[in-house]
Amino acid sequence: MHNGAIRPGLDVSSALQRVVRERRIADVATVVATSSRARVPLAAKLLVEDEGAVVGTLGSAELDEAVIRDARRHLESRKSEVVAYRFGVETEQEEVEVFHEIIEPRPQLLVVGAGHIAVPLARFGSQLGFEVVVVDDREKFANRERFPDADRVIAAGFGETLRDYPINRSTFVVIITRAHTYDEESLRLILGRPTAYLGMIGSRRRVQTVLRTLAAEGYDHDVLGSVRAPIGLDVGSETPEEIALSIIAEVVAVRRGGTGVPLSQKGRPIAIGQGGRNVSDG
Amino acid sequence: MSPTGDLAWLLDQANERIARGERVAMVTVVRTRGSTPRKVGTKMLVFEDGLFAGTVGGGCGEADVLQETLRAMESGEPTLFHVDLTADEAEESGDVCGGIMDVFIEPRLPVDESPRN
Repeated sequence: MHNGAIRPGLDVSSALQRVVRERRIADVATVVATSSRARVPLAAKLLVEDEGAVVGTLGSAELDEAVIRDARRHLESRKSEVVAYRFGVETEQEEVEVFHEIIEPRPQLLVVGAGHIAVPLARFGSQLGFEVVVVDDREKFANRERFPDADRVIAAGFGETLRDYPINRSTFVVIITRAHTYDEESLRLILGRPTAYLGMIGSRRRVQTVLRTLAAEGYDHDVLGSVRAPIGLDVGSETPEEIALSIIAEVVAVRRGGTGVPLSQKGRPIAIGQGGRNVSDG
Repeated sequence: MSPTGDLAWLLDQANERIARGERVAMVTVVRTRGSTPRKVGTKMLVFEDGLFAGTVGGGCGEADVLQETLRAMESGEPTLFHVDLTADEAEESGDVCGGIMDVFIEPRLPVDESPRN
């Protein structure tokens, strides 16, 4: 009799703990159902990291291979779901169901610059479920009193902070420092690293100057083209709060796969009907 | 966000209890149909005494899940448990129940209790 309670996946559980602690992304594949013939134990686990490392086994090399292949797909779509597998030689086919579970950290909003836009932005981010981190080199701005909702406030230089800052595909980076030299310095340290979102504030002209400089230095054009700059959706922002709203709206649109287009203009126009009836009528 | 919703916290709790020689079980929503109160991936950690952290039902179908989990913890055998919330009568608590979900129940035993073979 196979007791699957603890033995399978012991090293997976410590690997999982590490993934969670280090805010990394992984697919934990768990056998949740087996056919009577299956020799694969229930609760067997395999962990596939976003960066590629694989820990554990489900008890069959053939099944492992198929599951690892699917794990890559799930890591891409970030969707957890149960998938059925059939494997083994024809006369002794085994059927199992495997739960692909995407483990990912709470999305983090990394606000670079603690100026007047950062204050409402940190508040919005926190309300929308982000872990909010604010960094600025001025202690007068980067402090708890100013950012009561932030999970972390770092008062240190942009360069020294960002150089070793852990960033991955769950990190939404918003660069809004007080000067475009700091914006540029911060951008350099993040460009080319995987992010969920990378945006930089500035007028079209100023943004162009920065991007051109970096392109001339040999930065990849596609990488530069993926930077959201000027940052935000067009909502006609004027006040700091409105600018923060425009930024967080773009962040949410990227997180959830939205387009930012007004819903009223998406798809076919709503048929208003004859005789000037109201849109909301039946 | 409450710390109980946090996977890191749940894993720490589980390890702490196991180190103390207690059994625990992790319950995970793996499949849903219809409008269930919880999403796929939601977890609940159940302790030997029937107390738990997190929720997979938000009051809906929770008693059944808990009972099944305590049974699994006793036997040490993991199990896939089917929960039908469409017929649940949780109106008194004001919860909105509905849909069908499968939860996977994984008991974890203290190391010195683990089977040796």
